[in-house]
Amino acid sequence: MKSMIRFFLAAFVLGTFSTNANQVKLNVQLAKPVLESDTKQTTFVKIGLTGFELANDQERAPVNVSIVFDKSGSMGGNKIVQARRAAKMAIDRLNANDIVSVVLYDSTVKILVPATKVSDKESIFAQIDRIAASGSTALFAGMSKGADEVRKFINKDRLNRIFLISDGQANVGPKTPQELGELGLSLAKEGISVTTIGLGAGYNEDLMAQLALKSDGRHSFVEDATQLAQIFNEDFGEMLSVVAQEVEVVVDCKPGIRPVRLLGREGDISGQKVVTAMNQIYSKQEQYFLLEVEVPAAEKDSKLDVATVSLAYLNMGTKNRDRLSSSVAARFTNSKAVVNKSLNKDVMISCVTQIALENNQRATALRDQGRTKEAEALLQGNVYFLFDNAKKLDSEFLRSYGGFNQINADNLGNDKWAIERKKMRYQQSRVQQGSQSLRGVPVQKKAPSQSSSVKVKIKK
Amino acid sequence: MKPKLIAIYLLIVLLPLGLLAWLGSELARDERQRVERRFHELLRAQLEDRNQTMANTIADREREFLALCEIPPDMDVAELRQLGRKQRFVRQMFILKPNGAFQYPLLTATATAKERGFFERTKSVWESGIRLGGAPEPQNFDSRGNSGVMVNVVQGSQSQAMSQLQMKSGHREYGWHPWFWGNGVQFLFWRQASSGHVIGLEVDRVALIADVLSELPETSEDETVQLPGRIALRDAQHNVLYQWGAHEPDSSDEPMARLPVKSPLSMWSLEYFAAPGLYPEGFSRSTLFNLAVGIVAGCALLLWLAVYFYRENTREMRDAAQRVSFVNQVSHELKTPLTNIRMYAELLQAQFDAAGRSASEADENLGVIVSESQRLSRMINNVLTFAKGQRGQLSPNRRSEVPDAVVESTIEHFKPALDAKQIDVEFAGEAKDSVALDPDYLEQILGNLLSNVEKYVPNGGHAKVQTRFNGRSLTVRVFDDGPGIPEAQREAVFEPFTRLSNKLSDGITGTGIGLSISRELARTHGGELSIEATERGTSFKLELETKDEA
Repeated sequence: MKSMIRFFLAAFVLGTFSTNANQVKLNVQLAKPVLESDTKQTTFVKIGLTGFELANDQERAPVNVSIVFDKSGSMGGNKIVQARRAAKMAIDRLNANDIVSVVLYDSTVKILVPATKVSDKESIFAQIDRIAASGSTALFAGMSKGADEVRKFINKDRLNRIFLISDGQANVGPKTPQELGELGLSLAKEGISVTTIGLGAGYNEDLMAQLALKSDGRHSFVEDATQLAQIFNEDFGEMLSVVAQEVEVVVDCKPGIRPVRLLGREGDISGQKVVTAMNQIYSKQEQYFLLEVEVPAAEKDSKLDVATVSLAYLNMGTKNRDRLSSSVAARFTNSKAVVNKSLNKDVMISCVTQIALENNQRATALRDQGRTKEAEALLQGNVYFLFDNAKKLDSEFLRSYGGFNQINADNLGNDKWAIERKKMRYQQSRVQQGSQSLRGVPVQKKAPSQSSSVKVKIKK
Repeated sequence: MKPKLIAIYLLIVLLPLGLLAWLGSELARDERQRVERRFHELLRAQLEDRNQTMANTIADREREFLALCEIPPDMDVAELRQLGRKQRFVRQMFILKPNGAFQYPLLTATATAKERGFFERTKSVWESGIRLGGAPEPQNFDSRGNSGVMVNVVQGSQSQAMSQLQMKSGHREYGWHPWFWGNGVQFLFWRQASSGHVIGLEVDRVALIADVLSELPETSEDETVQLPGRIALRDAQHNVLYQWGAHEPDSSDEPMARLPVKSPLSMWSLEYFAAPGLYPEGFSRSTLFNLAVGIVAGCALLLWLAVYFYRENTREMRDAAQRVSFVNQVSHELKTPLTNIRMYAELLQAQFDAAGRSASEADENLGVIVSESQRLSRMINNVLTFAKGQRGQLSPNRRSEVPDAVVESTIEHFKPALDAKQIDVEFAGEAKDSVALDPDYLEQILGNLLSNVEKYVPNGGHAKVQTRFNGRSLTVRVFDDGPGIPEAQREAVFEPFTRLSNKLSDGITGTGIGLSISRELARTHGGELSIEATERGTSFKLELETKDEA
């Protein structure tokens, strides 16, 4: 028993890496630090990265941001007014060290404010106030030009970002979610993240979500234009809190351990090696991904090194490239009780979340194919799964996510599916990016639901 | 007469006007075509510029790719993967051994999902049997890296032709290879190392498009440098990839100029849509103005000329009418004293005859006075009849009369003058019945005919007057053995103021209206005066309609 505790402690010590205040915290944990002996099994490794705290605003890295506006006809009226207001509010938070550009697109692209230092805010505001809405939507071209403006002053010491505000479909140039996702991926290679804000019920949420997720940026949904400035401001503020960029994570699995798949992030798995990258780490936010590994059968009381995680990133505070590494090992026992006792709740919550997310995404796909009943069943299953685990793991987050899934399930038959789908995509992107809370994700009004009355009828 | 004249005037004005307008429009069309051609050339030149911009972008990428492909062929797999992760335009690196088999990536258990995706995407490329580089032997593209056959390679020149290869001194060292997959045309870029290895990369299509677009102009905010139209870049499926310029063409608009993009993007095209205001209407405003002014001036000149000639003409006609009326009035004024002179001369002659002094010289002199005054009287009658005819006031005054009596008395009147020229007149009268006719008409016509005999038949000649009834008309023939009238001029003599050739009319006076008036009188009397064909001399045939005896 004593040795067991010692192993447990060792695993704990190995699994956590203490850092000084101005370094990213790398946290590698096993879902089950103690595994059942004599059987081949899979478990999850959670790799969490948490940004350090910024002492004050002066410390933040200078930004190089391009705000790309959809000014197509559909943006008319209050939308364009709010978009102008949002852009001005965001730019107002910048100072003379920062660089901003404003790109407009409808069927063609105009560069309203070429990349410039934010020293004369008034003239930039005056330009923004002239934006009027008309035309169709050359989203790809707008993004290309926005990226080009960012590229003029691209510098790894800056936060190189694009903010895209659109309420429409892309109808000029490459227009599939896949292609825009590829664009996001290629921008991410240059260290440019894209934050996309979808406005109203008309935009293509798959495209906007792909563009953001593949470039490691945020995707938000703004149903009501009056909320645009607030959401934009939140996303903008989050961007300003970036403490590390060019993040590379390499997971080396020890001999005998086979990496199966990544959850929560894409990466290259080759043999024992898993390589993935992030564009940034935000201050005081944990970003994580999960690696499912296959662990070979082992004798009880033996110890097995599972993986070593190496982290390299550009510290935006010190402008140095920091390197960290951390290892995790597993212990084996023939006691199920010990296994269950060892469960790492934090990792389990993340696992449950990611699994539920996959189901949630599959439900969207099913609903797209018109298989609403199947989607609803899947989501209902998700709800039980989440509530069940919320109880087991005592997780408020899982409970609230379960609630969201319930609302998703209730709204599949909603006649405003276009809006519901956008909310779902938004929620999915937030969960995928490891958001610790779903605060701010719009909650669907639980319809005085035709779908539930349908259910009743079926029951009869 | 007048409507005909107006028609002629209209013709004179409208014909040159039409000609002018036609020439103008031809000129305009020519000018338009010329301007259009130049305009198209201009648009094409602009497209060429943009094409060059894109070619430069591609050239930049090509340099970048060539540098990337300089890596050693035995580079570590991890580093090759890192290139795919870090390089903006690289989706996947690949290395082929000199025998054409894959060195990297390999479809083994440790292949990453990206590498598997690469083989999935490029399967058709390797299946086509394309050879990248100058590998010496038919190769088996084998993604497992050994010589086992995964894909049977068809070696052939036509498959090589598919590859858009860049030549360097005859030997291919590097090139682009397009293939179609997913959303459009994709590219491989490859370079053959001196070791014979082919080092290549799968180009990130979307990143390449974004790069090409970002180098193209955007729609300018500044009106002064604004593109006066719209240029669109279209992909192989004719979808718009990018466009700029403030002009928004209709979807049905045809581009004014089109240009294929240079290799390797040759399945793309550039199109120019000109803004309507920009497109020339064939003429510059000033040329059009000049032409319009020219045409208007031409019209004005023609109209002025037409009006001028019309007024001249009408003035002359008025003058002529005034002259005729003057002559008419004078003739009237002359007629009364002449009639008195003639009457008293004839009375005097009769008194002389009664006194039996016929052979006296005075009697002869008196005869001359009588005959000359008769001749003058005929002339005046003719003039007055002509004037009447001109006014359309001729109408016969039929009375019951014996034609032969009238003819005989008329010949009697001419007797002295004919005798003086020793012209013998024979009369064969067969119209002795009284019929309804105007004796003045008959007398005046016959007088004119005999007057011609007197004038034209040479001394010692012979003439014959013949009358007969022919149904309901009277026919009077006057033959002579004078010089005759050539057949071609037999109608012309009836035209007013016509006198025959100088030879004939030399030294003979006359007004030239006698025959014309005679014919008009005959026709007014429901008959005709014509010339009959004869072997010699002249034969006038007069027909007059006669009513039955009253």
